[in-house]
Amino acid sequence: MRKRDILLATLALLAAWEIIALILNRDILPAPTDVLIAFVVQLPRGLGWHFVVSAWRVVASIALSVLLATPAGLVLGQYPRVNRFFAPLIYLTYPIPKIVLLPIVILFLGIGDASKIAIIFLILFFQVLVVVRDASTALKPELLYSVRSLGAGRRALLRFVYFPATLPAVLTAIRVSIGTAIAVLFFTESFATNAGLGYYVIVDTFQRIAFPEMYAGVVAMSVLGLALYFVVDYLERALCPYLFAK
Amino acid sequence: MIDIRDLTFTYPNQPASIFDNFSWRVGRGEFWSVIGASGCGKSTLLHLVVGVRAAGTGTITVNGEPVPRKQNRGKTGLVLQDYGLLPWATVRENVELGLRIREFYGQNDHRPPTADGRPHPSISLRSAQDSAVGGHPSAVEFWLERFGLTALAKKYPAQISGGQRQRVAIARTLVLEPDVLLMDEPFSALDAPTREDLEQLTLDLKNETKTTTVFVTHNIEEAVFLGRKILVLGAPPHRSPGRVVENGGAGRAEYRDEPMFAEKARLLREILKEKKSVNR
Repeated sequence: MRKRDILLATLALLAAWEIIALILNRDILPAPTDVLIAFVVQLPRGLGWHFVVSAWRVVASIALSVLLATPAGLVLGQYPRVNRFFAPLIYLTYPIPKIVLLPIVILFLGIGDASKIAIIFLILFFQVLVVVRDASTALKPELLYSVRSLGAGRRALLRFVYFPATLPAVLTAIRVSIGTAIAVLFFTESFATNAGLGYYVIVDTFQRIAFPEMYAGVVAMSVLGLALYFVVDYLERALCPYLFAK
Repeated sequence: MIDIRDLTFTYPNQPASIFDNFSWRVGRGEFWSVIGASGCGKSTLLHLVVGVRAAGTGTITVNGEPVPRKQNRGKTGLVLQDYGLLPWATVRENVELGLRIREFYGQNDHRPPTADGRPHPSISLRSAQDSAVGGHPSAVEFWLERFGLTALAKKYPAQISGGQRQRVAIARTLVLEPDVLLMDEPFSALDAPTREDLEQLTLDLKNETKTTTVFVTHNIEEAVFLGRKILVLGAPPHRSPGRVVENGGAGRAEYRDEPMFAEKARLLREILKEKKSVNR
């Protein structure tokens, strides 16, 4: 997919939005031009700050989940006995929509950043854990034998085989979870906080009936999701160039 | 060079043993073929010699050192049929891998190049990357050049042919100057012309480096062409003494056209048929 195609698609969406807004001619659907003006005006007046707060929460959750789930997944992938022990637990807890645990998380961690980061962390942790475990167990024994014959012990295998082998899976897990992570963040920011895009959209602008600003908040949240998606895409190309070699 | 004594090995959860008090010696500088039907334990034998599988009982030593060789990492070279290269590393990075592993364990060796001007393979990776150091080509550059891989150095394994991949796999082991080279059906997945080309390359390398080599194959002609001694494995469990066929004519390009070649191939066929019906 070329950048030009993405740009054209964006322009097409904006054009469709503009046309529908003109036809409806109601304040509940401001035109994209009005939203853009609101976006630019509000950025230094609080929207930018809320964006940064939301971005920090999501990025912290992703980083924490990758840092903890990757080694855990590698252990499960390399030690079948450990995997057999934990497999039933993962089987039972993986399908639970982690958002339902939010009240419990808030009870234990309060209403600040920690509970918001924790709930997103829980979602991402299981995603990354399972893909890293599966990628580790899928490694061909022949690959491990030949690298071991070059003198690699367990540490070198981790460094030269297991970690690079599971990297694409980790990035994919993050990419497919971004949408859910942003959605959950949005929900958690809609109460018991005064910072973040969820607060800005649902608590602040919606209740003030400031529709262009509200739409600007929605756009900001979309931009956050897109930006994270592009970052993961970029990381995949930078860290796993072999996947794109012709 | 390779000394296997009273080896017994059984796969976990398998009732029958693969090796039962099996003993075998490979002398320094020898080139052995090992042949047998699929599933008879040929690959397992190599895995045991490398040390990636542990023997049940008995001892295996390579150059006097018990396996796996912790003091001499990478000195037992292993070339497999496939899946041996790192898919995420370039040709050059794959060939360098052994040196990088040595550096990872802090086992660099900064000895100068050998007296005959060939690169000393134990040059550290850092100097291997800077081939201008002392005017001597690094081991990595040397083997890339020797196998015609220099132009492919920045390609990934998925971008090169099967024959080229096997050259990379062999170069990767040779960079560490192994004293033993174990090859597990390395050319089975290749077309006939590429296979014969690589068989000749293997012989040339053997003549140049005098490395003790064990070549596992299920291809009779390949076994006869390469191995001056041929170990024939029947159905497991394998016990001593193993059936060995002397094949002194091997190791020359023209051997394929000689009557002795056909005779040895016929003999091997008969032995394999006989072993198929008898559990030795």
